[in-house]
Amino acid sequence: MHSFDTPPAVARALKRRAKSMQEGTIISYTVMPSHTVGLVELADGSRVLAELLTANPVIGQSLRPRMILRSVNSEGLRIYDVAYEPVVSVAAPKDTLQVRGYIIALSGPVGVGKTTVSALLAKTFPDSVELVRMVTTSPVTRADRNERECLSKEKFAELWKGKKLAAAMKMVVDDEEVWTGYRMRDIEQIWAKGRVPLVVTDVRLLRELSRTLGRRSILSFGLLPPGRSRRSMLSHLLHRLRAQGKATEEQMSGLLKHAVSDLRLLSSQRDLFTDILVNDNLETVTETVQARLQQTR
Amino acid sequence: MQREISIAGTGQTRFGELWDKSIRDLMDEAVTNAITSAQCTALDIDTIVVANMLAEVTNGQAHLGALASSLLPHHPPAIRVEAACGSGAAAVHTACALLESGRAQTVLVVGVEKMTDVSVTDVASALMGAADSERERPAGLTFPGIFGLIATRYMHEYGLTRDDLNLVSAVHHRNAVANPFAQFRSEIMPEAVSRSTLVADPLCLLDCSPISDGAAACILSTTLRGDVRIAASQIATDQLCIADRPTITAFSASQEAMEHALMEASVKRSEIAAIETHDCFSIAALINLEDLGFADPGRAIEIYRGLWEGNTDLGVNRSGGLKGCGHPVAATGIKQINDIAKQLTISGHQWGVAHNFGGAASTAGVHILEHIS
Repeated sequence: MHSFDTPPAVARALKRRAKSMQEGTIISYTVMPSHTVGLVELADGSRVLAELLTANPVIGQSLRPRMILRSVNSEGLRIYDVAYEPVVSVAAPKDTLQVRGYIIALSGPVGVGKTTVSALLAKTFPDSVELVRMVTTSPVTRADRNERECLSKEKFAELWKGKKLAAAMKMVVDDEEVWTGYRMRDIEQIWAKGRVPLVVTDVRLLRELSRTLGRRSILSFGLLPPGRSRRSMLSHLLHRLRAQGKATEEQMSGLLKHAVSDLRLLSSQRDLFTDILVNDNLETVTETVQARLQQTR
Repeated sequence: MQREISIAGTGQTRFGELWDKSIRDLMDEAVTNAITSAQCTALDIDTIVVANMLAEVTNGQAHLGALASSLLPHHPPAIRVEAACGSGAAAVHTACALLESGRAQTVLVVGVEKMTDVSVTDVASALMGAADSERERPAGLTFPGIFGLIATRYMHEYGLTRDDLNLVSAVHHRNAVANPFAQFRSEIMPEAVSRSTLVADPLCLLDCSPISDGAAACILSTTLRGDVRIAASQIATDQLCIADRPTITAFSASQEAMEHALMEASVKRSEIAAIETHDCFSIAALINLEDLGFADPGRAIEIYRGLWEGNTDLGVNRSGGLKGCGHPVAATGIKQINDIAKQLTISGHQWGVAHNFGGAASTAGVHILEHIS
């Protein structure tokens, strides 16, 4: 436990937090492997350092404050902090904001079974649910061709600048900068067929999506591996990854690092999810998702 | 300076991951080398100033003054000085004050850091002690993160590109090849920097100085003579939290210390031939050259282009800097002074400057050295 998680330190932080609940603008930012931090100038002219809830910050962007759960200390004290999110999405042009339907989103750490659940859903409702292809700048294998579409970096940047993307984010994979996102057109085409678009997505991309489409038009499910503690969840994921046998041990440690940050995001950004499900039994999970779907219809 | 202070001797250990050496071994080696290089014996030393930042956390060792003193046969009085990564400069500054006041005649200054005994996470967390613990740390920042913020803003204001920034570490690595004490004696191509693992956008692994073990010592004296004297010793401070500063693309403490030092030494900036500057991150090297007045704001990259092409006479981080040599935090400030003394002695140039800072330049130290032949 760090000294800043003790009750007296938290009590002191409360006073500062009240002052930082203001709108602000980004002076500078840095994207680190697990989160984005910004230097923010608040409406009263003071500056704070805080987490930014966006994958694509821009200097000068307007922000609004939002509470996030930062940690739970060893005494069970839930420690909240102020983070900031952009007021206007970069990707959302105003005229496409007329939402014609809703989408289903599945999020969770790598190896938790997102793909399996999505495949089951698509199989159960072949006429009503359709997977949205992710667009990415990383190479796509033949097996992935139905799920992902590879674009050049220039083409991706062009789509983004032309506001043709419903969501986009940058990641670093094997020391390469990789952009991923969803095309607005792909989602609209699925709606046009009278079906529900399904995305298997990262938590940060989900936040971008909820900004473009509106949080209420997304039926989102966070999938957690079974286990009481974060450590047991991670060891569960590791077992699944090993059993799949796709990744080398070296890649695995990279994947696990991502999983740690995904688990953290899943708990700190609980508001993004309609349901958080523990994937200990595939049937129960798909049944819950199906039940939710029936309700919505 | 109230009195003439000479650098009577210098010594250091190799910097690097020195798993077989304890904090005491490191100090012992640097001190022995310094005494051997000086025209004196251990018994001439009448005071010791120790620079160290992290020993309580990384080694469970406090009370470094007494530890250093126990290395000498006559146990002279000893004190410890801490100013984060700027501890080295602060210790030399303290030694100068003792010498100027006449309280001491010959002072041994030793900086030591033993960082590789604990995990990288623990070291990173301990280093965050150099920032504001209640305002910067909870935001999830690490030092690469703080300098990532600084680099993003610098690029935004001055249009510096990622490819430009690559040159900085490439120059430092190339300079380190010839330095037998350096941690990384290998050249890297500029492209390798931006291809290395992203740490805190836009900074990559090869933009960051490493975690190192090492010690450096020098003997300063008003009675013993040496070829190089300390012509100015200045430290200055700034807001601890970068959110409290009007700008993050320049460090006012560095500017202030440099101006005062130039006045104290009565020397013009144009006469300075050798610089050792605090490049804890590549972006810092650029900001430092601007703060020290060798480049206009936003233009320091031109100096690095010149260094990379080999068409500038200004010597910048000829030792390899913090990136090439390694950065045992409190030893760095003293190592820089030793390096400038060596460079002036060998090249015959008259003036050199050592610039060291702590945190995001919340403390900055500038020492101007003069070669007297």
